[in-house]
Amino acid sequence: MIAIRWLISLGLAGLVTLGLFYFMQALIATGGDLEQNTNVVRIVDATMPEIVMEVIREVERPEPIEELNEPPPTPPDRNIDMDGGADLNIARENVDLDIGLDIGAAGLSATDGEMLPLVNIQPQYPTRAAQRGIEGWCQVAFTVTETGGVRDVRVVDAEPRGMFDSASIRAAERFRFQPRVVNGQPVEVPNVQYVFRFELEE
Amino acid sequence: MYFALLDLSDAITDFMNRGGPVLWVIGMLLLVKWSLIFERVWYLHSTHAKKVKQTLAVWAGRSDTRSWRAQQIRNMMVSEISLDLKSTMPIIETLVVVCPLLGLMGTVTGMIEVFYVMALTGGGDAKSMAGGVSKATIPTMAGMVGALSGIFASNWLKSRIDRDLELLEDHMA
Repeated sequence: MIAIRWLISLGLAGLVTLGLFYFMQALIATGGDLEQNTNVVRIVDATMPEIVMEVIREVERPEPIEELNEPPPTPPDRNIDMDGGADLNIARENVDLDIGLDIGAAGLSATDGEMLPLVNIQPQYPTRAAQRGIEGWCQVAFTVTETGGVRDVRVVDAEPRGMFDSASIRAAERFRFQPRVVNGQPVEVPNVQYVFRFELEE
Repeated sequence: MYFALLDLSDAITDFMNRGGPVLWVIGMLLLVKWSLIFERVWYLHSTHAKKVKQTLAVWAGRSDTRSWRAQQIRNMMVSEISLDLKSTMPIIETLVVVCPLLGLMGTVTGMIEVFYVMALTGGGDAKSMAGGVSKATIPTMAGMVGALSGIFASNWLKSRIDRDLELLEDHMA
């Protein structure tokens, strides 16, 4: 009975001590990770896979029209010489330059298809994950504002859960997009999805 | 949940590494002190309560409660209970006092490290001194926090024990 009492007291005391120590380290915790001389862990660089940017098709420029260097042929003499024998009455065709250029509907805009970030920020690989060699991915969804900014970032799915969330959210918030234009007005695009892959270099 | 625990252990080991070896001693002391405190609280609520009941029953069963002899017997009963009740209190109080002193010791060893680094590098290199400085300041804080938390608990226990004994004596009048 007495032994049990002491054991339970010891357990509670252990909890209290841990709590106190956690409290203390929280008191002096500084935001940034300070470089310490004690057991520094070499962390391999984390790389993000290259993102292949889709090239937006350039509108074909019309070829410049060749300048006619030859002087226009002198108009034929229209005076009909009743006396002349030869009849120089050659009917000339009207030359119609019809190249089929229609420069009206072509405009550069990335309004259709995928929203691709103009600026994509690489997320910071969480130290914790890097130390343990944990790899994974995190899918976020957010709203692209009229100005091309990002807001309301939330995590849709991740593997492993909770490991890369904050890093991904931080990175996604700093993305910049070309805002979607509808009828000449920029509009918000809700629910744009993006997947961050966290992979360690071998 | 699992990651949260990892975070917690990481944070604490990190803190321990920064604070140097004195922190471990302080941690051990805190562990001992708090187990003593919890044990006392438990004792108050179980064994002590039983003993008081027994003693009161014995006292109520006596026919003679007024004579000098009866008073002496009453004193004996009360002191037996009080001895049992106060058995570990001196240790608890000592540990509370020792905590900040240990912190100071950590400070001194940390400062010695700082001076050693200064002697080696000729001073001026703040970065290399930082380790010693945090080793000097963190144990002080740990000692203070330990002592503070202990003071509250031990004072509460003390007043609680005193009150219980007073009540007992009153009941045995």
